[in-house]
Amino acid sequence: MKKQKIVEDGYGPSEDEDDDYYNYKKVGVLKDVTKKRKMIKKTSLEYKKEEYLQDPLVVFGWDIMLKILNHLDARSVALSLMVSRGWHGVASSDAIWSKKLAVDLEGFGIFVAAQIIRTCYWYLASSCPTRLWVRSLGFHVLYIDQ
Amino acid sequence: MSTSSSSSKKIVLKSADNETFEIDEIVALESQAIKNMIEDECADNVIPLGNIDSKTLSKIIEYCKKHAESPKKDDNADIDEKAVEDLKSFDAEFAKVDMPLIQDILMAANFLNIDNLIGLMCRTIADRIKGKTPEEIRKILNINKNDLLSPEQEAKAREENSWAFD
Repeated sequence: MKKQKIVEDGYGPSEDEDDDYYNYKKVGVLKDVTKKRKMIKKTSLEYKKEEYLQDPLVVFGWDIMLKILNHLDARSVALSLMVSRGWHGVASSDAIWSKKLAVDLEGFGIFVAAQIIRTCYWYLASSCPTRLWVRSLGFHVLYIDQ
Repeated sequence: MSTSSSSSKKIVLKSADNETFEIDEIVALESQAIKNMIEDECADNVIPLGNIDSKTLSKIIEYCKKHAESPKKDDNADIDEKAVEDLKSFDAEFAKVDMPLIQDILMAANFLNIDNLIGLMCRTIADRIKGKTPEEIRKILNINKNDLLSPEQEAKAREENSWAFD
């Protein structure tokens, strides 16, 4: 029965092969398979290291990612929105933009306006859907100034 | 035990690849995590750091030494400007390493809870991606390409932030 199966697999001894040759061939095939497996394992590890280990969001999570983005100017944060889905989530969060808006406006020398907008922003942020409007208003001011 | 001998007490750190580093306790105290261990008296002479390799650890010790030597900001108001400038230029020089090492240092600093160093590394990463296009950022940080925005999402984001692309 066993022999029958081997023959079906195509690795059985043909009539003109002796057993030794058959065994050698079989072992050879096995070796090839394990070699292949090892190769796959290795490449997947390398892949993991090369591809994922450097995305700060994947490696360190939100806390550190927020710290990184907080060092960027508004324009750079807007550009980083499109890096990946994960980044989009962090870079569009209010934790970034509430600070960014105020800081950038101060940078343009309209500190008072920044205070007012910041106050409005916080007020509206608590009563949700309108906050997007305020956010784009903030950008609008930036845009005109640039 | 006299006070002078306690101030020069040594701590030994052991890296993942079994290299040992002997440092002054005052240097080790830059790390909040090690400080807590020492205060709770659960640190023996040797502190094993199984997830930090020797290359990263020596960089971190270099940083902690420098920062332990220089006067703290909150100590008193009259620290000379020179020391502050000196520390700044040290930090700038310290950050001139390649991205994988930056991430290793950040990982270790996060683990050891060294606030200043976490801040410095975050700022360094931010500096490297400042003003870069999404594609450039992906290249710099090796972002996983399986997690990109769909074309519709990207178009929407581009439209909402058109001011950033001029």
